[in-house]
Amino acid sequence: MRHNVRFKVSLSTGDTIFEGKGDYQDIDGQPSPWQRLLYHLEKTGATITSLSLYTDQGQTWNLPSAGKRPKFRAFDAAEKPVGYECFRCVGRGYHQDGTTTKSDLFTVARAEYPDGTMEIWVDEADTRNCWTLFLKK
Amino acid sequence: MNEYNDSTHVESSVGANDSSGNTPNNVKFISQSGGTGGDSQADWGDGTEDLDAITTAEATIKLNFSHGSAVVVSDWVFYAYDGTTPATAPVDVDVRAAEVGEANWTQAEGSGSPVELADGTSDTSFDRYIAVSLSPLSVGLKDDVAFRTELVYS
Repeated sequence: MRHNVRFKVSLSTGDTIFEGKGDYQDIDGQPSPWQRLLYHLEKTGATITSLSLYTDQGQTWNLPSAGKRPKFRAFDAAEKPVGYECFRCVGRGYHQDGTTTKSDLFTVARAEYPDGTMEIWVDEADTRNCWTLFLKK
Repeated sequence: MNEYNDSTHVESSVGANDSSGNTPNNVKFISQSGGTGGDSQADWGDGTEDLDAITTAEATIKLNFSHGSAVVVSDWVFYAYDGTTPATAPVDVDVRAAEVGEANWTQAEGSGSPVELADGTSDTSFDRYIAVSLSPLSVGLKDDVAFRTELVYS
């Protein structure tokens, strides 16, 4: 299944990985690109230093970076995420007349902090529909 | 009124009864904690039994999620709502649901009170089986009742 909204990660090794490109294409029957990334991180000991979402049309949604050279002081002074995750959330309703609602499918980028998480939710069906969610632990 | 379902049917989008070709098994709520060691009880055609004795073949609903590449699933939930707003419970209907293997019913009304379904490790297809039983709390047609499922995959 090819998603419109895909992840882009920067690693502590200096590498940048794009879902849907190179070794991280979505291939039927194979582990998903995110599962392959997790395997790569476990195998190499690398960590994610930034996570963003992108589309082929050039749209991007960026989480705060754990990198060391932000352009603005506000980003440099802010608490850095301690972890990142990308996942999809899908929901569907079923009515008594046998009809189902259109599936709601969002791609989510999550930044983890010691006391909570910050998430960016982007609607796969309409990328103008985007939400930010803060969750305290 | 205040009695649980004695039969379950499949209805087409134009109101025809499609049950003859696709008969779901009826599962009837009997008690919340009257079974062995406080287990819930239900009747799915063999008389009253502990809820956790039900098999997948005897459940009301089978949910399937499939994906081209192998993913893991988590935070999978199932609940009833009013057909418009997921957070809103159905009006005047008691809804009990449980995943096969669970010992107790969940009053699964609105997104804040879902049945939590089992997580899944890396695979391309996932099945979950659910028992569902409903009871009207007032006289009249109850058409503001729908079901919704949500899950996370990566």
